[in-house]
Amino acid sequence: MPHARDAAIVGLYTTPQTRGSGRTGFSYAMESLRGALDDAGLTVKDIEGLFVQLDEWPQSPNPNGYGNKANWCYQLGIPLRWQTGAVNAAETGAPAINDAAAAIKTGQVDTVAIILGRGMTQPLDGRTAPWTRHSHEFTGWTGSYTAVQFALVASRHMALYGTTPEQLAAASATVRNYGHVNPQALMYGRGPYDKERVVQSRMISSPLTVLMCAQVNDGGGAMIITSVEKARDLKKPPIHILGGADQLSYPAYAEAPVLERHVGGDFSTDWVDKGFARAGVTRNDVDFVELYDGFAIWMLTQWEMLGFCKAGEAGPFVETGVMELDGRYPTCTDGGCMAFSHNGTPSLFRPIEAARQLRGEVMDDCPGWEQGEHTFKKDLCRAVKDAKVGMAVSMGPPTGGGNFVLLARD
Amino acid sequence: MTSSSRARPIPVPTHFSQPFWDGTQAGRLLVPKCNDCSKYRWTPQPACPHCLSESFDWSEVSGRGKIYSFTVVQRSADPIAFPDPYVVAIIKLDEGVAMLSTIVGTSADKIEIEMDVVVSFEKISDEITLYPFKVVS
Repeated sequence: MPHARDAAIVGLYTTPQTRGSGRTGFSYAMESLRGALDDAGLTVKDIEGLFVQLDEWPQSPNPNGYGNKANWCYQLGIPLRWQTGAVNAAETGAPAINDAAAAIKTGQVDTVAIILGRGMTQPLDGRTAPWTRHSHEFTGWTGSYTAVQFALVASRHMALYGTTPEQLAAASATVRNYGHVNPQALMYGRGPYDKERVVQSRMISSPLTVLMCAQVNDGGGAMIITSVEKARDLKKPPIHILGGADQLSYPAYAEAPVLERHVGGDFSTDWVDKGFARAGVTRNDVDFVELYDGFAIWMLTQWEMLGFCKAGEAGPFVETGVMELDGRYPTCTDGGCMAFSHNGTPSLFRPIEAARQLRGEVMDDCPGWEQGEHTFKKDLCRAVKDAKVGMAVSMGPPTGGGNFVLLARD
Repeated sequence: MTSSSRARPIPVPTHFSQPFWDGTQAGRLLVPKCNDCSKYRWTPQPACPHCLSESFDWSEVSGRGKIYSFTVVQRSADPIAFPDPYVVAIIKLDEGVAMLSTIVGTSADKIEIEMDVVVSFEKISDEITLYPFKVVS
């Protein structure tokens, strides 16, 4: 039984995920905030704390960086009463939710909004997105960019453990097939996908093909979190924030992404075990997992990092179909970064999808989805049957860390 | 000046990293080595991550190591600066540190993980000499 000051998710919203709309990140952020407040039955005056991820602030000058909270509270006409919220990509996902829950639990604030918006993301030269390119002194000159860093992890994983391109492809195909039946996904209707199609798609940086990488698009989303006490009076059933964990161990993209970076030994899971223990649930209680699937290899290393399989065993693990709708842990059930949306900083979309699954609000190709009636047939459905506990992961470094939040329905 | 040399990002040394770039210009690969626990570290950090000592020297290393991982980039982020395909690699130096670099002088289809490599030096401006690696045959 949750305590009155435990935290719950009470408002959710995602904008259309699109390309070339011409809208700014600010516009997506504002739509998301209004939508999530309406979903919760709250107004902007209820917000006391804020996390924002934004690519640009339309007013200039903005000396303090994009999404700066001083600009935001002034813009929204509300005072902020909690000043540790972040404007970092990773922290607007699972870490933001864990932090907000802690602030609510300790009575600092009652209600926090987490907002994400990015627009005009298409690279002008048609190549890779600008934020993926490194300018670091010891990295930029090599021609490395984000996909290259993950290709290096994948290449090592294959050499060390015998992981195959088909195993990477299996993970990608599974996730992309969820997007195929999600009308809200950027890549809706673009499947179905199988391993062969993924392996044979255009090579980006060996062994990663284009269908093993997330795409780039515009879009936003928002989440409202409040105390369980306050949540009881609102429109939607609360989704409880059980807890989570976070680990950071090196500056990604400036340092080489070696697997041994996993602090405490190869793929040490002690930080994950502690997070589960604090949340009061086990891996066995988890019904589905929203991994952060920016690249296929990242899903494999997350299964290992999070302790769902041993180091080196993620290839065979995903090949068994564990991520499928009828598998043990349906994974990235909205299509993930691969097919739902990757707007550059899509961390918040993973826990939003987890909360929607737990609410039973899953839009798919099942005729009765609006009434919560699902067929559980893979060519139509992406709803996890009787989902009680979900896990969501947000952006982290290529190796050596990450984060997660555990959510549950009443 | 070719378009390639105009567009390729040239490292900008900091006050802290200048000795490293002075080293590559002189044909020497210098890596910070702790004066207290004798361990190397890369990239350069002001204190030792193993024992927290701030005392270190820029120590010349062998320049030899093995390919820890590599990738053949078929889709360049910037085809003017980096015409594809090209190879990006992680080199594990004999001294134990992992260094992001490139492999030159061997066609991509002949490169394998764990191959022995040695540093080479490529002068790209009056101030900067890069440190790609070559396969040792």
